[in-house]
Amino acid sequence: MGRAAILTDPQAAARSGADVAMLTDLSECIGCKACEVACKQWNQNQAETSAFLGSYQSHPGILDNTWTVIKFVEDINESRDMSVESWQFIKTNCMHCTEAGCVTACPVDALTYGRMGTVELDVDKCIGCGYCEKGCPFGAVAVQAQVFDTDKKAGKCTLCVDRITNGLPPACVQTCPTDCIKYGSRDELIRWGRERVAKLKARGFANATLYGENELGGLHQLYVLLDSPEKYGLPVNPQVSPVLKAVRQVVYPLGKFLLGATFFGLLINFFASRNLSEPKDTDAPKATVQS
Amino acid sequence: MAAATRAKTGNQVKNGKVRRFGRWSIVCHWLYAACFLTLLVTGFGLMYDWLDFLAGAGSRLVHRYAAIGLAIMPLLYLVGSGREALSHIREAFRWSKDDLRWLAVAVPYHFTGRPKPPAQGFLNAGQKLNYLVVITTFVVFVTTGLIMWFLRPQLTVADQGVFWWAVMLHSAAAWVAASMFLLHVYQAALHPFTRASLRGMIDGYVTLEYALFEHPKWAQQFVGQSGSKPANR
Amino acid sequence: MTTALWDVPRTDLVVFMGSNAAENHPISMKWFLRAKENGAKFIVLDPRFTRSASKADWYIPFRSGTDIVVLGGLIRYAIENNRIQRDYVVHYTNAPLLLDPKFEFHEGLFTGWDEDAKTYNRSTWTYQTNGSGQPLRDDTLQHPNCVYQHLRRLYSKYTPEMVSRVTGIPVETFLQLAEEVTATAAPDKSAVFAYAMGWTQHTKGVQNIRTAAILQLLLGNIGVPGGGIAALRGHANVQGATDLAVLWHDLPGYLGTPRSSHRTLDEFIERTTPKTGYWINKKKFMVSLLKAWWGDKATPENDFAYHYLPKGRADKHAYSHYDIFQDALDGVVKALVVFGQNPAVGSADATRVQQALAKLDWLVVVDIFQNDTSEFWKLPGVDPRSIQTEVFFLPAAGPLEKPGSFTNTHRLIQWKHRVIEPIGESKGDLWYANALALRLKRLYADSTKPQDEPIKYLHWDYGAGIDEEPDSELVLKEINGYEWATRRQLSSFGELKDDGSTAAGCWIYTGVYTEQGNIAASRNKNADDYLHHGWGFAWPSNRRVLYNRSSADPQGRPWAESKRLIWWDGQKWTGLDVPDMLPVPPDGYNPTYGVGGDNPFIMKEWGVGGLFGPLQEGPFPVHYEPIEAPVANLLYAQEKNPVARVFSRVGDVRQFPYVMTTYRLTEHLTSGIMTRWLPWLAEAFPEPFVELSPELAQQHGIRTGDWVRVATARGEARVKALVTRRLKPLVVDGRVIYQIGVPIHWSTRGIVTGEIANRLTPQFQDPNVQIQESKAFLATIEKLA
Repeated sequence: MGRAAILTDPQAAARSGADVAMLTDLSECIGCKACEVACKQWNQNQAETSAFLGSYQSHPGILDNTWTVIKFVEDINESRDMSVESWQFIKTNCMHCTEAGCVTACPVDALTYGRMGTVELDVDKCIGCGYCEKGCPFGAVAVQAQVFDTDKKAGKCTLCVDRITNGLPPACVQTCPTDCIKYGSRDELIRWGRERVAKLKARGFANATLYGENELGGLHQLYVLLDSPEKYGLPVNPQVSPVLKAVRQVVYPLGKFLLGATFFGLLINFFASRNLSEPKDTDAPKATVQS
Repeated sequence: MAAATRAKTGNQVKNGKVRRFGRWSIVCHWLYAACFLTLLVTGFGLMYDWLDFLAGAGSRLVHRYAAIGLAIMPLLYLVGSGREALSHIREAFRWSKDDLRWLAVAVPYHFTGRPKPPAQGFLNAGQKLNYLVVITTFVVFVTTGLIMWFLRPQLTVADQGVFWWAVMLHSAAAWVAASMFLLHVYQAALHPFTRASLRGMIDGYVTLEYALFEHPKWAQQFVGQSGSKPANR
Repeated sequence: MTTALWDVPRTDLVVFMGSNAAENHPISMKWFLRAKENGAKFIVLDPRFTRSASKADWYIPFRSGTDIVVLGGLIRYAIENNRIQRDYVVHYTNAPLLLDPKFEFHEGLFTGWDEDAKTYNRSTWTYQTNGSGQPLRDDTLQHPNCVYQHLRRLYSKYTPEMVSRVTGIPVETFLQLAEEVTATAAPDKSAVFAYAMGWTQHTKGVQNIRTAAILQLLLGNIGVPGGGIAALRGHANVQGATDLAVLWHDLPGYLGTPRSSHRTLDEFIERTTPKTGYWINKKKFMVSLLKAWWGDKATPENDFAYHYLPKGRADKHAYSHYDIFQDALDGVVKALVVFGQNPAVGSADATRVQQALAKLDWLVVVDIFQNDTSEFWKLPGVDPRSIQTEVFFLPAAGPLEKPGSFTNTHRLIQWKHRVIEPIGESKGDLWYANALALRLKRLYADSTKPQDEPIKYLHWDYGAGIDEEPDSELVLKEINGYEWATRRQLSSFGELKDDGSTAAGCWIYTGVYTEQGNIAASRNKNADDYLHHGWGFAWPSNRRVLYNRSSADPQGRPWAESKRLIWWDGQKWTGLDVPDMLPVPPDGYNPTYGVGGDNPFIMKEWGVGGLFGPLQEGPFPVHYEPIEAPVANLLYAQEKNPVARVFSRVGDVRQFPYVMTTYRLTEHLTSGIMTRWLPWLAEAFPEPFVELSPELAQQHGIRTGDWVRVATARGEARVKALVTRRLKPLVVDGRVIYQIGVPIHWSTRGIVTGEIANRLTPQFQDPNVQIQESKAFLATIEKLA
């Protein structure tokens, strides 16, 4: 079983244009945050110092200028002696869903299904409305616009689409010191992930699982987890909010129809009623003048 | 009702015209309309791809300011012309069989002039409907708007549904209100039967002929009153 | 480290003790994880549940400062249960050698202790020898005076129960650990111990490591694939700095330093060189070094300019880091030049260091950022009006702005190129060194005083005038060494001569820059060679695993098929690495070196691994409590290391009841100067904190996020509380002991700031290397309003 970070030649992947993905093997993540820094550096994102979070975590979550955040979760064994059972480091970033809540939510099509399986964000189109933030079941895209902000835009992991389409691996993959972040064709990564999970199960991690293979039509950020997704704060069977879907699929069409129908009804009426006369004395009851 | 209106607005008949709205009501109406139109346009920027150019941080800001305007306008209306406002609202909620019959024939009547609808009071059934839509959507706009605006940072991934319910109701209300708005504007400005009513929202007065034609049950009281005279058309 | 990280995946057991590689050596962690991937067990012993512990199969908390008890307990377990690799021990170590019958150990002290002089007379710390000077031996390991029996007796007190009482590790847990560790005594098994500052920063830091070395030798785990002791160095080029002796007690290549009592070169060699083993060549290395420094002025007639070398005073034992500041406080040291260091924050008992800086006449700081040392007068509690020190700040080039080499943790020298030109007026360290040396030479050019000759005649030619850019490759070429007359680059230290015909700046590096060019810059990828011999250059001789002869049995056959590394093929030593052996057949003997074909540790006397090995506090490691300890020494009447050096105020357990340790985080480097000025690293960990257990927090009403005052006998620091179950109270000798920890990275300057943790740490020092005891001392804690 290969332990390299790059499972498919990035040049070949760029040429073929087929779906790629990242896979984070959390059994080998050491929480060093090199991915966070590499992400900031490649994308030239501003630093944003958070208040003390009471843990080793750098930011409360993904921010508009912080697209990769490692979450630190202490798993306490409450049944035995309250000791630390495990300390998990979960690299979070955009999952590049096949069925993406943010794409559904975006009112101006700034978010689209892009090249090589990515979900692309066109920052020039983005108006900072924050609908994507509320459409993402992973909290992986952020705007953080304050009430009267006018210059905020959404921000999220691009899967380094500017790198991968030019035959380079994503910046975080390249920098990861333990090679726990992997890059390659999505099929290859799934194959690798399944093997890895089987191996972990054999080593006694009965709940080890490959996350992202089928979630939301298949994520382009996969995880090898040592335990169930809940332990890592990942949603089991994530869904795009049905209400969001209803808004986009039912309410919008119905509303547009209603308004359109009204408009055309009135247009027809305008021509049809052209020959009708305005109210006249004859139509009205007798009005008199007393002077 | 007529007495109440008179008490508030003073001279009810002037140069052969009858008073429909007080000055303050008119001011509030147009400000509300302006806010509404602004909100509609800036909101529709998010809903119609061809209006994308209207969407943006600037228009979001405008939407917020207009929303404040829209939210406080009814309050100003109630404070500034309380009795008139209350009497209108009360009437909007008071529905008679004639109103229903009016609604039943409203469409063919406005296309062909036939069949003749039953006589209406100060508000015809269409206007009552407009009032109801405005009031209902106002409540929805403000409630869901507050959620989207102020509750948003507190909404976690787990309760994103709250946000989308708000969006759903807010946008549904927008289309209903927009449709009614379109109808309202058309009736007031273009339809031959009712376009004379526009004056009522400008200087407050309409011709007695129009009043007797559209609102006979209300206008009857002015017949023969000093200052009123029939139009010569 | 004795091994290469590339070799670590071949191990069967990884033990982290005193190492937190995941946080402090993240690149190295990959190889330990690969070992785990290959089926190795991974155990972490640490007072804190660290990011390394999160990746372990098994985490064992214990009391900081009791490593020797744990390791001594393992040694006892291995001996008592015969879980040693006997053939290895008999042939490859000094276990069978007989010690002077008068040598003994009693209640924490070895023979020869002089209570008045506070030092040892080491005359009995020797082997019994026969007429020809060879040590007597008993290969049955039964003789009461043999090293092995001494070991057995010494560690017989380190029973599992005693280990538990002292360290807080439950007996059951310890026995399981002992089973796991000693299982690697099997010839086809190996274990690697990884350590870093967690072992070194104690008043018995060197002995901590020695204990592990003894255990690994007993288990036959040194020099074998997947074995060894992985000394993970503090940062990118600490290994290089040590090799090139940016230290007080060594000349480049571990040649030691002459004292004033060594009047001639021969006297120095005679008194500091073993009579057997490869070190008998020391004079060749020494003469070549002197030749590199003084060139034509180093001749056989003038003892190769030996008299130019500064000599240590006979009355002063050490001139290390803290001695410099002590001397500054005492008015002896008047001026200081500081390159790339921030002692006002990074050194223990930082307040004392700051006070010492204030006594200087002048101070030069060369750094890439203004730091707390260059602006020490701005620190809180310092009154600038009372300071007369004149400070010069010189802007330094960063690592990417200059070419040069890094010698990494596994002795691998890798050349790096300049990536960008230095910003503004910044200059590389080499530029400053060159400018300083040439200016000094100019000042002394016309002097006729003999004491000025070392500078006047210094051989200094790096291709640049005073304000020009020196050629760093010329420096590496000189370090490598060349034939003096022809300037032919040498390819092996075997070519070095003691007649002045060769020059070499650091003999162990010979081979790094040969006639073939800069080998450190070689980047040949060869997937078939798991030790990557075409990549860079590992000293010595591009050898990746030290002592690798011991991977084969005395007859020269690999101990096990799965552990093949070096073997005798009938004609020569060969294998997967550069053999670490004299060209002697397994049954042969080289009388010049006193080393036989079955003696793999050729750098050691008689070519054997040193179970017995004299250091300042004795030839065997024994447990001493830290200078500040919450309990008495349960093993010996002699409570503390008798030769430890105590510069700072010692706190009392009644006033400071908790065991405290300091440490680093992945996100920052030492005093934070290189990281807290970089926004992307500053945000990665913005605030200092104290880690403490919920049990202790509850006693003080402290919650995560509260401001807390941590205090020791040295000073105090205000930090945020991070209450976590990753710290556990331990039961030590029936008492509950609480441990707390504070990282050391913050200071008053930078994008993110915080109070200086090193105001808390003590200048209590190991007597061998003078490192401070910043991993185990006493503190107290209180919640701030």
